[in-house]
Parts: sequence; structure tokens; C-alpha cells
Amino acid sequence: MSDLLPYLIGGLANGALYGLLALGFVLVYRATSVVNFAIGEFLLVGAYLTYTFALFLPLPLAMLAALPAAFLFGIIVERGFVRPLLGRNVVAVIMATIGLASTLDGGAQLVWGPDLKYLPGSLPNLGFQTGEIFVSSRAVWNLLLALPLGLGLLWLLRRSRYGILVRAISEREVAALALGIPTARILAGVWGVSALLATLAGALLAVASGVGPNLVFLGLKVFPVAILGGLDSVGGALLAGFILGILEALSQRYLETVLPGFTEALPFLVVLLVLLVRPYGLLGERQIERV
Amino acid sequence: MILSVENLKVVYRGVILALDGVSLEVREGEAVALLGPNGAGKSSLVRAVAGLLPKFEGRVLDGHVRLFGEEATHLDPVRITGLGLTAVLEGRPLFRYLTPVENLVAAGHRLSPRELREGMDEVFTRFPRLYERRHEQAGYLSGGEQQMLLIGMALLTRPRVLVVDEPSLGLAPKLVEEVMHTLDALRREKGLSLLLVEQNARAALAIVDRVYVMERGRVVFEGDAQSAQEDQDVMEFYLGKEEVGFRQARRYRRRKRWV
Amino acid sequence: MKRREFLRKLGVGSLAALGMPYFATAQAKPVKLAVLLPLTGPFAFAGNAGREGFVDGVDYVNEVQGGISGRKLELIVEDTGYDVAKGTAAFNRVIARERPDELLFVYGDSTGLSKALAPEIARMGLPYSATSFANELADPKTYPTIFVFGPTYNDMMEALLRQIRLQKGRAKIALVYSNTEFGRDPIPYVKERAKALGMEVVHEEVTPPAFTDATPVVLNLRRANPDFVILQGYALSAEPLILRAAREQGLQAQFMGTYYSAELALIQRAGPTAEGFIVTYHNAYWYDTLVPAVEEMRKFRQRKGRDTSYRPTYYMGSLAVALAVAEAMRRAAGAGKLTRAGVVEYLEKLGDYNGLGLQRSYQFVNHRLPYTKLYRASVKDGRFNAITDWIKLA
Repeated sequence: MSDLLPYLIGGLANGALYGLLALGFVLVYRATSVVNFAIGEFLLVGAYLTYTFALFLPLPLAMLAALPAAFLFGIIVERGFVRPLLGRNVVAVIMATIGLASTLDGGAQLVWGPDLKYLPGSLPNLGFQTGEIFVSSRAVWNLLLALPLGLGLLWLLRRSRYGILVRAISEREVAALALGIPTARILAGVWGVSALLATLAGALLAVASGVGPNLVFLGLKVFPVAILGGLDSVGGALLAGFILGILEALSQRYLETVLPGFTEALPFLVVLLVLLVRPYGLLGERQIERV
Repeated sequence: MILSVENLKVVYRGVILALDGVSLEVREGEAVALLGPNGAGKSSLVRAVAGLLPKFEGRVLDGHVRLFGEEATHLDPVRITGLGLTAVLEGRPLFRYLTPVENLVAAGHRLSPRELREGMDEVFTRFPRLYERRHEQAGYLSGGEQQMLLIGMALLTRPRVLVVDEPSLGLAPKLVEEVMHTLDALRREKGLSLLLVEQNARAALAIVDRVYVMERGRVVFEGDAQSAQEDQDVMEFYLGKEEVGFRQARRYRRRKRWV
Repeated sequence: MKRREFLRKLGVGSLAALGMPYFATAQAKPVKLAVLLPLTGPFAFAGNAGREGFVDGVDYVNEVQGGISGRKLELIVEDTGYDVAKGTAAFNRVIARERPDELLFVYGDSTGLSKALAPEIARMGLPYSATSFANELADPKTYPTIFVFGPTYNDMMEALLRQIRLQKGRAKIALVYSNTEFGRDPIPYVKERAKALGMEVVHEEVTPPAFTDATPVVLNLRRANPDFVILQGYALSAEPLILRAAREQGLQAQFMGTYYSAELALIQRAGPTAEGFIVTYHNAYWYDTLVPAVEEMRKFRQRKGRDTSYRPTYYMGSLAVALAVAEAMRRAAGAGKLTRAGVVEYLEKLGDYNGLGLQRSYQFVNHRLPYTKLYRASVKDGRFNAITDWIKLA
């Protein structure tokens, strides 16, 4: 067990990031029915924003400053790319987000260049060792920041007025409009929050391993995580993030030696299995069917 | 004038003409019924006055909607509810995955926490059955309870004029009566104006002052509730026989033209 | 454009006009060198540095060396995005557009792309080299026109294994490599050679080419507890992560890498954890000021108003190719054989040339240059310092 534990801790730390990212993804999907293929780019832009702020500010402040900037970015994306297409057919919106992804990829490379960038400064080292088990600083920071934010957001969604409005709009936009709920403003806010979550994940990655165009690939993990959790379940997304992180860690520990490279394929295998057994994902909602 | 619609023409997807020059009025404190068969354009009228046409790929081609004397033809729903018109669309438009409490919170989004609490208390006092089931998903409430919840929600938007589309649909006669009674009571207590859109003319006529009858996108009859009940045609097609259907109703129009 | 600058350019233009009769024919039939580089995508930084090397090399050939016997050497640049499909499309575009008697050399990208194009290149008799040092490409029997301007990855591994044998007799070795053609290329060879040399490969770790968390990799390494860890198939994104995580978790093994890890950015990115990292490298570093090429290019860039600060290894590598290809073309032209076949012939006879010291020599053995040096990262100097002289690998 003391042999396995470090893997699990590492897995949880990664899972926290997957969870954050998937949370933002599912939130947008639920509220606007848009599958945001640019979620990896949100993370990328967020990481670069953090990097840019870190050139002028101490790192913790830079991470903090990147969040409102990311929120704004999300709103701009919603206004510019998504809103004009809402109500069009699904494929049009999907193509638009794919186009947005390439645009952001290219744009990021144009602005920040292709090189891997390291952030000046670092967060205080919170890594520690107890007995044989070493816990890295990045693991501590990931869990320390991602978990409260993720859970806090879930709580807000369940309990706060704003959260209730978001859920109401997600379910039946026309009915919400008829009640005079400013759906456009709130949906833009949802995109903002999604970008904010991706940015925190991006910032944590940037701090630990630098920022480069390849961060985008983390976005690919979102789909398995979101499907595993149930596309419409926000809590499921967070949970599935952790589950995937742990599964990856187990695979690294036990399967990698037998089947090198297997861990890369694992997330998609898991999804396949889950969908066979539970098509709605782990926490996907049952449809209410009564007339 | 609380609400006036003048010569309104509405099309869907640019081609399908749903309203073909409709005019009607709702005055201060008045209850008005809008009757007509399925497909007459009643719901289109509701959408138009609520500013929701764009959500249904529809738009106003011609004519005006005025709210409290102000031009409101192309206002968005947020502004329209802000002015004091709330429309309860057909098909029980509540949030089925939310609890009654959450539904009410969503509806009362403009209220201060205190106003909201008081408003909710009022709704629950009026509908004790809702209170018992306040933490269940609204999708599992009975049809009558859902209709009560919808009325409660509408109240929390603090309307001056309430437009209700087909509240009787799918309810047992006993419940229909109850719903109508509630609407009537509310109107009197709160001094609301009411535009009641119904197919069930008998139920509607019991609580309104005036009546419009629509067919194929036009208003084909207009008068007070009394005269509607005396009008042989209206009586025959909307009151006399419960089983009056679309085809027979259309005959009404033809006859009317020849008279 | 400032006025003075404009006038100067005008002056140059008029001078050129005076020499018209000669230049006109020279301009009419240029000799072309096409490069397909990853200007975007994960290896963009290497691709862009490489492009700069080609641009400088070709400019130098034209402006200082008088072109290819009076004919202008023209550079064609295409982006591959480090993508085989995109690279193949770029290749086809260039081939379709250019005349066979003008396009005399193509420099491609990546092991994957080069392997995909190899048969076609052999069929066309097109002189070709690439950013890849894959073993398979250095095979004149199958691909008589493909050259590897350096040791193959197998050769590099050989150099590392010899160093390991020097440092410790029966060493335990771990291999960490990316799940790419580039990463896998020398693995069978290392495993076989390590065994032959009495070493034990205690662990193999296959990873994606880029990742963000090296914790599991290092945990696996810690369990295997090797003396040496060889990294292959990364280009500066993964190595720093692995080094950092390894030191953080107290792994004591000696880390090693090949050509693509031999760039200073590795030291900057890995920080103190880069100390002692051993790499193979076969060109000169920009700070090797005793090498004539470095001195020459510094001056040349200064004259052209280009930045003379540190140029990466990928720049040096491209420069080494550009100069050598130009030399071979020049010699072919001298013999009246400035054709694709002629360029191949004279590349094979380039043993007495060393590209102003950029390479030990261009004496191809089986179409690769089997020499390298080993360098060790010094954090204090912020440099890789040579720890061996040229090691002959064949």
C-alpha cells in the first residue's frame, strides 16, 4: 500500500484538474447544449493569461488576476461565437467551437510563440514526506485549490439563487424567458465561469510544468471524464475527474509495465465500458417521464 | 389601456402566417377570454405579446403591441415582464427538475430576499398541497398541483396583467373549475388584468368580462361574456357541445361570412 | 523604411542593374533547396530555429560564397505542423510545383514523415535529408538518395552506452521514451546492445510525446531503481518535468538524452535539476567561438542586422546541412553534373569538408555521419560542456 499510495495521490491531483475542466465543460453543455470542443483551448489561454500576469505580478496574484480575465474571455467567446449560433442546428454550433479551437490555437501561438514557457517564480513548496510516502507540492496545490472551488461551485449551483436560475434556464430556456429571467446574461456568465475553471486548471499546470501549445491535449481528457460522469451532471463531472485520475494512476502502477503506453488509451476504454453499462454515465439524470 | 394589440401579423420561418391582422384589448382590471379552436393562432398571440416569438422562429410582420400605452412590439421578454406583463405559456412551463421552492425562487428572481420569502409564504398559504411537496421535483407533482405552482410563479413576477395559455388542458373538470376559481379570486384580490386563452370556453366564460373568438389567425367574434353566451353561433360551437372539434368549428366561420 | 535605408537599397538596385547581363541568366535558373519544417505544432520552436539556420545558410551561400557557381540558391520553406499528412501534402506540393532540374535537395521533418516519403524519394532519385536521425533512413541500398547529417539514434545510444560502461560496469538502465516513431526508433538496438555489454535494462516507460505530470514516471523509475535513465523521443518539453520530479522525489540515477535534448533551454527549464544531464551532440554550440562557423555566422548576422544572441542547436544543425549541401552542389556544378544524381554523388565524396567546423567531417558511412561528442549540463555555466572528444561510432 505504501507503494501504491504515491501513485494514488498523484492520480487524485491530476483528477482534480480533470474535474475542474470537465465541470466547466458540463456546465456549458447543460446550460446551452453546446459541446465546447474548444475547452482545451480555454485551458491553454488561461495558462497563458496566468503566465502573462506572472511577468508583472507575484505568482499568487497573477493566478488570482487571471481568473476575472478568464471570466471576461469566456463572456467574449459566448457573445462572439456562440450566441449568434444558438438555436441553429447542433452541427453548426459544434463546427463553430471546432473553428474557435483552431483560432485560439493559432492565436495563442501568434501571441505567445511556440516555445514552452516557464513561469517566473513558483508557489510556496507544500510538498512533504511522511515515512516512505512523498507528496509533491503540485499535488497539494492542485487539491487545495481545485477541490474547494469545485465543491463550492456545486454548492452554489444547488443552493444559491444564481445557481437555481442557471438550472432553470438549462432545463427550459423559454419558460425562464417568459418569467423575465435575463437568460442571455446568465448564460454568458456560465461561459465565463467555465473559462474561469479551465483557467485555474491551466494555471496549476503552468505553475507545475510550464505553458506550451501542447497543454491543449489535456482538453481531450474532458470528453471521457464528462461522459463518465454523465454529460448533464455537474457533480458527476467532478467525481469522474477524480475517478479517472485514480484509474490512470492504477494503470501506471500495474499495467504500464505489461502494456507500455496503455494508460493513454485508458480513459476512452473506461468510457466505452461505462456507456455499455450505464448509458447516462455515473450521475446522469433520469428523464422525468410523466404527463 | 393595459394591453392593446393592433392589426398584428405574425409569421413563422418567414412563410407560415399565424396571425393575420389581429386586434384586441385588455383594460385595467378586466378579465378577457380568447377562445378558439386548435391552430387558431391563440398561442401565437401569447408569444407575440410576451416577446417570445424569436424563440419560436417567428416574428411580427406588421401591427403593434402596446403595453400600458407604450410600444412593446419588439421588446424582449425581460423588458416586457419588467413592465408588468407575465405570460404563462401552454404546456405547463415549469422547471420539472427543480423543486417547487426552487421554481418559485427562479420566478421571483427580481424580488429582494425578504419579498421573495413573503411571496413564497403567500403562495404556500394559498396552495397548502404545494407546501407539503415543496422539496420534491416539480415534474412529479400532479397536473393540478403543477398548475397551482405555475400560478404561484406567475404571481412572484409581480404582474399587472397576466396572460394564461390553456390552464385547463389535461385537467379533470373539477380541477379546471378550481383553477378558474383561483384565477378569478387572484384577479379580484390583486386588481390584475387577465387575458385567459382557452379552448374550454365554458370554463373561461364563467370568470371573464369580455370575449374574443379567433379562428385561422383572425378575430371572428368580439363581445362581452353575456353577449357571447347569447350569440347562437358561439354558443353552438364553443359552449353547446363539448365535443365541438376543429372541422365543425370552421363551419362557424363560413356561416358567419354568409350572414 | 527610413529614407537613408531606402536610398541605400536603391543604390544596391542600380548596381545590380549594371551587372544585369550576368545576373539575369543567373536569376533565370536558380538551384532550389526545399525544407519542410514543423513551424507550428509541438515542435514549432525547433522548426523555427531550424528555418532560421536554413535562411542564414542560404543567404550566406548566395552573398558570401557567390551562390552555386554563379547560380542563385533558392530556399523554399513549407510548414508540416509535425504532422505526417500535412507534411506529405507539403512535399507533394513542392514536387508538383518545382522542376526536377532545379529542385535538387529536400530537407524534411520527423521520422514518421521521412519513413512515409522514403520510397517515393528513392523512386524520384531526389537527394533528401530530415530532422530525423532514424536508423532506417541511413540505408543507401534501399534509399540511395537519403542522407542523415549526423549519427543515427542508434549511434547516439551506442555513444551513451559506451559512456555508461566507462562509468559503471554492470549498470542497471531504464529507458523512458515517447510513443512516437522518434521515441521508439533506437529502443530495440539499445536493449540488444545493453545486453551484449553486460548491462541490464530494468525498466521501460512509454509515454505520450508531451505530458504534464511526471509523477507516475518517476514513481515507476524509483521502484526499478536504475543507475542510468536514458530519455528518447522528447524535445525539451518532457525532460525538464522528469528531471524535476526525479530530484524532488529523491531519485539518484544519472539521466541521459540524445541530440534533441541537447539544447540550452533544457537547462533553463529544468533549473538546478539539470545538473549533470548527459547528452549526445554533433554540431558546434553557438558559444563555441573557436569554431570558424560560429565566428563567421556571428559576423554575418551582425552585417545583416540580425540578432547575434545565442542560436539554438536546431539552428546549428540546419546551418550544417545547408552549407554541406551547397558545397556538394558547387562541386557537382564544377564537374558539370549539377543534377539530383550529381548532388548525391558529391555528397558521398564530401569527406574532406567540415562545414567551417560545424561537423567533424562529412565523411558519410552508410549515408550517416557516425561521430558525436558527449556533453554534460552545467547549471552554473548555463551550458553543456563537452566531456569527450569525437567518438567514432562506425
